[in-house]
Amino acid sequence: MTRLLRKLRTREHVLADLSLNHLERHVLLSGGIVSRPYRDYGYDLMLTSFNARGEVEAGYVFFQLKATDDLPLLADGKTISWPISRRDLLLWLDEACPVILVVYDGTRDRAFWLDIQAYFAGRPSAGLFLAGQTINVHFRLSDRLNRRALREIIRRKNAARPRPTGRELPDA
Amino acid sequence: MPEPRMTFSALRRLLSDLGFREVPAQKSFIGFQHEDQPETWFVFPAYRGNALVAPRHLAAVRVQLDGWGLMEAADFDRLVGVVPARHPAPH
Repeated sequence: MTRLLRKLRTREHVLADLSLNHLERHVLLSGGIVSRPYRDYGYDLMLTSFNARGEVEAGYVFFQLKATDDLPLLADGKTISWPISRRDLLLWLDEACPVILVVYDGTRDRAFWLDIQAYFAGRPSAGLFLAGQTINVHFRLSDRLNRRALREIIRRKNAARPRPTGRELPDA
Repeated sequence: MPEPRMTFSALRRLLSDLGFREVPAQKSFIGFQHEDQPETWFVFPAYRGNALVAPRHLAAVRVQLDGWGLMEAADFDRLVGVVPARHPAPH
């Protein structure tokens, strides 16, 4: 008799779902929603926020989630070092609205966030793409993903609005 | 589900038809703002007109047009080809 090859649910699957659940909970508590209407390489979720009247606010935030049971801390014990692919980085740095990388710590049910554009804004771009296929970014353990962090992320999203000058642009 | 497809020039036409005008944005980004509601805006990376808009940006447009009451999400899905057109029921 042929044995069926059943799909297995691994710890990686559990961690991925827990990280999604963790982020979604904090977004919901902050009055927003996360969704993924269409799949796109390098992006897991999109945040939509609402104003005090409950109306959809303009702008968007994209999240990329990572999860682990073994948080890679540097020797200072306060910094997480996480590798990201050069391909992802190129995509993220091109965005007009914030791209937030989240690392979820499965052993302690907590997560940390990094605003990719802000992180690289102060760094010379020349060296970014000379390295190998990956580049390590550093999260501070103090940058916990919580409601306060979500408020700050939404504030950054809203700051990305266009700055109208009162003049029409010529037709393209 | 098939991948949504729309060129940036088609998106620009759609937003224009819905009352948005193109406005300057930071860096080389492309901004759109609604004529009657300044708080209703979009900002995109610098797309060429014939480039396909990334699914994530179409997703943002879909969610926001729907939320602002400018276009139902299901209509947007049809426009970008992720919902097959319905065939008439056989007689």
